[in-house]
Amino acid sequence: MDVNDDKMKDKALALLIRSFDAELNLEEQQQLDQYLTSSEALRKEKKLLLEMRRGLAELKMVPKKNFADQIVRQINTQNQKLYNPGLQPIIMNLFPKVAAACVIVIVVAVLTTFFIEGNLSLEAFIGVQDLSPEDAYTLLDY
Amino acid sequence: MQSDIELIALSRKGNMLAFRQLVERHEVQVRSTVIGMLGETPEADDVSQEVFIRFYKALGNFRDEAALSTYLTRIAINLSLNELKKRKRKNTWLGSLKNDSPAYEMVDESEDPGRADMKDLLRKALKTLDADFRAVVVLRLIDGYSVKETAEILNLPEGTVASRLARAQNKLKTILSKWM
Repeated sequence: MDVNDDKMKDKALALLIRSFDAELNLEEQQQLDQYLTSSEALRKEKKLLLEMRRGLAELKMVPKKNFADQIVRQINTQNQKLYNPGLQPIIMNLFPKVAAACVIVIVVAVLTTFFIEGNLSLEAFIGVQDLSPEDAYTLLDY
Repeated sequence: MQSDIELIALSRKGNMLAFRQLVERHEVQVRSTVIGMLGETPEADDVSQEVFIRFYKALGNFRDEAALSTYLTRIAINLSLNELKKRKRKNTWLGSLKNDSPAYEMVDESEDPGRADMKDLLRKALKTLDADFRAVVVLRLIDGYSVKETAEILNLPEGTVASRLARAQNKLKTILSKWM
């Protein structure tokens, strides 16, 4: 068995990696043992893989100061908001209705102006379309 | 010492001290999972906290027969994957603004990280893995779940977990041997 052959090398490495997480059958185990005995490179790979796995297992975090406090505080704040919602949800709830009412008023105003004055000019909107300068003078007298 | 189930029962009645004890008991597990997935970033802290807040909100629905650590790890993985997707979307968008920048942050495998210790090297190398592969490595090799438990948490067949694990280890090994 030549473990230096690329295909064989891949097979040996695959077996080696699998052996860490799954039980190999007897034949596979014997094959792996043979590869390991005959190949210095594979033994080096095994050493590196084991070191890497040990290193990964050590990546566990340590408890963080105040972590639990922060969570409890956040939950309390959220609960408080839930029970004392204040004005914000009322405003948020009313906003679409108020907006819809405003749109309706504007549409009615535009249509009314159009049907009464016959156009949608600025003068028609502010109601001075038919005023003559004398009317304006008379108005100023008042 | 009270069991998780007893503490959960007390928490359901509004006992915040009991809930706090649960947080302290599972904090390391959850933070290790999230930081393994996201790296030591400010978002990782937010996501870790979010895991426990979601758990608190779902206390009423939690079935006692499920192991709490597995349940929390599942939430941690899902939230971390969501965060990674969000990050990728953001980076893709920013990348499209600047045509010459990469679509998302990647660690240059050929870059020599210098005299960093093994932990730093591993954290850097972990970032080069795709999220799906990283999740398997985090659960199996950092959190210490078995292949079967990892498969259950990720809702994947055991064979898929084993093959992802093998490919991920192979990639990590290749990167580490370049750096070491």
